[in-house]
Amino acid sequence: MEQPAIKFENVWKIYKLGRVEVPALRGLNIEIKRGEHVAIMGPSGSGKSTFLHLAGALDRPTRGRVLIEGRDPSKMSDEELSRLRNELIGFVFQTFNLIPRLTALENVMLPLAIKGVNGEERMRRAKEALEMVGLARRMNHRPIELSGGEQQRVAIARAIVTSPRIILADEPTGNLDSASAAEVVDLLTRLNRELGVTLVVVTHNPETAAPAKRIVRMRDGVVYEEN
Amino acid sequence: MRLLDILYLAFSALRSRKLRTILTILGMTIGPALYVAAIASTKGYGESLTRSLQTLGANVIQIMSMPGRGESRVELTDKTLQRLSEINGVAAVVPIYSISSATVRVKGATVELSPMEETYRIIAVDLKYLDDIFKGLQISEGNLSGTGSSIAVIGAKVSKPDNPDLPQINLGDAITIEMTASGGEKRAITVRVVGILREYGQGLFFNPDTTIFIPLRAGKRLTGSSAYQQALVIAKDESYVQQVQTEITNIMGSNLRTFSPQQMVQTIQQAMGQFSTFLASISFMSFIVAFLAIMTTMFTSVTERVREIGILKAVGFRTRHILGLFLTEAALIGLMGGLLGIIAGIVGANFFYLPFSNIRAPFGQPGRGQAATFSLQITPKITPDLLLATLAMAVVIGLLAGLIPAWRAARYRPVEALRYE
Repeated sequence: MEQPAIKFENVWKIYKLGRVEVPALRGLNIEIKRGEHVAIMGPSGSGKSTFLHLAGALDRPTRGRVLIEGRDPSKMSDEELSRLRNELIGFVFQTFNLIPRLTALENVMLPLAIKGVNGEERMRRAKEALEMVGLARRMNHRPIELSGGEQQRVAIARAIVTSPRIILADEPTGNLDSASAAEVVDLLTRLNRELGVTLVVVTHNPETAAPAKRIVRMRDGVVYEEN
Repeated sequence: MRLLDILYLAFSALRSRKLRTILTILGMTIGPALYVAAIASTKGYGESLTRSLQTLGANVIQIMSMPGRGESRVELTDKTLQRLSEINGVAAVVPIYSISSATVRVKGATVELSPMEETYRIIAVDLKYLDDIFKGLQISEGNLSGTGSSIAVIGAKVSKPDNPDLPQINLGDAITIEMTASGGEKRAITVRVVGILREYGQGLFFNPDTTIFIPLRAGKRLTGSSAYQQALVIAKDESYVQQVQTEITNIMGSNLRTFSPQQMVQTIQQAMGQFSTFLASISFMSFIVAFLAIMTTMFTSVTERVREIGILKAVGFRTRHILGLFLTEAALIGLMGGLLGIIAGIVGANFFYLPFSNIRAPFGQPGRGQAATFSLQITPKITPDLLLATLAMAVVIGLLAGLIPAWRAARYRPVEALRYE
């Protein structure tokens, strides 16, 4: 049987704030199939960002089991987690998180540099990714010279340049005007459809969630509704 | 991840914080600059001194009888000198009459020699040793191998004086020297010029250019004294000088003053060495200050870039990549500071030895107030070894200063780093 893209089995994540323990996830169970387009919704503090961090191997669970394409991050070293992120996952953040001193093209090439892809190939693939998000013409601009929507598209190009299996987007439209937001949502949806990449979008914006085939609502660290 | 990628990222990070980077680099230049200047100038100075020593006569010791009272006065007689010549390592002992008060009659002119006036001086010495006393001394006319005791060899400025009151003296001219001996008896000799020397310049013991050299026997006749004013002890080679000098003092006591160029050079080198050690220690302190400055800059940089660290980790940078990135930045600061410092040091090396470039001999011609002064031609010794070592030191300082900040950067957990505001 094919492994699900992401599987959470009774996952707890407890943060320590001083002496106080704050549980962000309280026995979360969820399974996301390969190629699925899922929106995770919920109020702030519902644990949706924590879910995304665990799903993206940025963090390890306190208890329970997370499987990313069948691999268990809690059994991996930091080095292996880095490699897993680099090879399997593309992140898109609310604040774009581009490196301000690098051009759009250089930002997109960054994940390929780690993989050790050679210069020419790196350039070719980064340009291809920028073309896919419609920004080939602005590839030599720095983030500060780009609009919010353009910056987010650069970030998406960076997320897809390694041909990941999973794209995790954390409030990707949170800092964008509605026109740019719509463009970004369309772009992500198209990538899911055309490339078959698993897409998980965390948002509290219904319009951003709308194109998803499945909407999961979280509250207090667990799933309380799905449709 | 390739080194070039890390270098590019590091360089672009430094460039994006231009002012701070430049200030830190400037802080890093002082140590290497002082170090290069100190070492290059000291080495250059030392070599120049050693070279000068060769021309000054590295194997010569001057001995002089000091004015003493009664029994304590040591007379430089043939008997005394005989004892000195038996010391192990001595090749020859050259006695000298140095005559500073006399009347010289030449070509109808009468010249009074006095310790205070720059006219002539008269040295009576076995002429075959002139070459040992003044290395590289050359004859321009006549020869040194004249026989008999009524001859003279004269310096270039005796032959063609700068002073218009003094006559020109040529080969074959007769010079009459008259002096009052200690008993009040007047004595006179007449010598004929058989050789004229090339211009030589100041030697450590005398200036041959203004000297009339007469044979030792002529000097004895003139002064009527069996004691010499001074003697030069010529060692077999320069390695014997120290030992011979000590031995002379042992035998003769402190009433016989000895002096050797080698000793003088050692004294100066010691002083220069202390100066250089002083500079080197200041340079090491500057290295420490630069170390702290780089560390501060790097800590600031890490704190400002926590989010960037988070992003890099999210896209797959490993701990060692982050470590490498920040270490490279620190090393680049060290490298650039080192390069600038080396350049400043090369320039500075030309000035550091200036206080030491004029050398005064502790005593010159006896009876004359003046001491010989030399200017050394000094080229700082700037070697690739020195430059590379200094540069390496600067880079290592950078790396060490970057170690803790880079370690802190590398240890950020991606989630924390991404949340950082």
